[in-house]
Amino acid sequence: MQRSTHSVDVKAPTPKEQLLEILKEKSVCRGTFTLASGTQSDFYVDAKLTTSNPRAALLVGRVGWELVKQTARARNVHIDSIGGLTMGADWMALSIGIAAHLENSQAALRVFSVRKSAKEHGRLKRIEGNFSSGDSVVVVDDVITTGGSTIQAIDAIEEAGGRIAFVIALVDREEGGRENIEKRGHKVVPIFTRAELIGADAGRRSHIAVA
Amino acid sequence: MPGDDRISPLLSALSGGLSQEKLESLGSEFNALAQDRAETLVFFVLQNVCQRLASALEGEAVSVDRFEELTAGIADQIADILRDLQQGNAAINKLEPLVITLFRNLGLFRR
Repeated sequence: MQRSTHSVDVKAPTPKEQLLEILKEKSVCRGTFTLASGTQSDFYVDAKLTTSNPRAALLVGRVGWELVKQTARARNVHIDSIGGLTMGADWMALSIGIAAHLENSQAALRVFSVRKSAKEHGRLKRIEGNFSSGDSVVVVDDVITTGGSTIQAIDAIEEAGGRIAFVIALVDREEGGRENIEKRGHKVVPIFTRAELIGADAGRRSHIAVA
Repeated sequence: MPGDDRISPLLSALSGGLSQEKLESLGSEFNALAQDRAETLVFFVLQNVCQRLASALEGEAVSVDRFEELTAGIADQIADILRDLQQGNAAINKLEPLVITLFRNLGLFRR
């Protein structure tokens, strides 16, 4: 019997493609929503439903860590630690930290979380976890809209003596947040953009904004 | 307190409507004012109102209608209290109606 040499060219989805599918399935809600910034939008990304999912968290770690390494190489910077504003950044930062550790436990990233406001007693800490003054830091956020939460984290990290290497986000909603952060001199590298998530023209916000 | 430098920007912010981010920022400033100024109770209540409302909005897909329900009346009442403070009035009697509005909006009344 002659075995067929014809093979079907079925390409296995990459980790990034798998992550995109989970994100679309779990986190994208349609409707008319008021976002944290007060602007209105016809889609909402509840990224925590993805970043807290074990399978997706593995993918966030793999994809995010590759992006961190690639960006750090391109910008010729060393990275000591990774973190962002609680709670959007927390699962994502930890997933990337675990992926880094699995690749090389000696050169692992340290992971931390930034409180929205400083504790008012004890050591008055705003940053919890593994962070040291002088660290070269990757700031993480799950979703960037106006950039407000990312900028809050940047301010707290800089105030605590950290140096911002760059920012990574799971989703850039492409609504000016990336520009707001880059105006402060920090490169933003999203894993996904709005166009990748819901299509280039879909979900354009209504521009009903509060001052 | 006419021409009060710390109150005028808050009134200006409130005039643009509320959002989760704005409530967080207002809450933070009210917290500072509670510690810095004589009207401790007033600012403490204002901080709590903003913080609780911001927490209710945080991390949720809040529909436009639901957002309107949750925030209805809050900005106006806070602005009214701040204007009283600017004019040197205590505004204590306006705190309970504000908290009642917050509880009503959030559906927290159990009685």
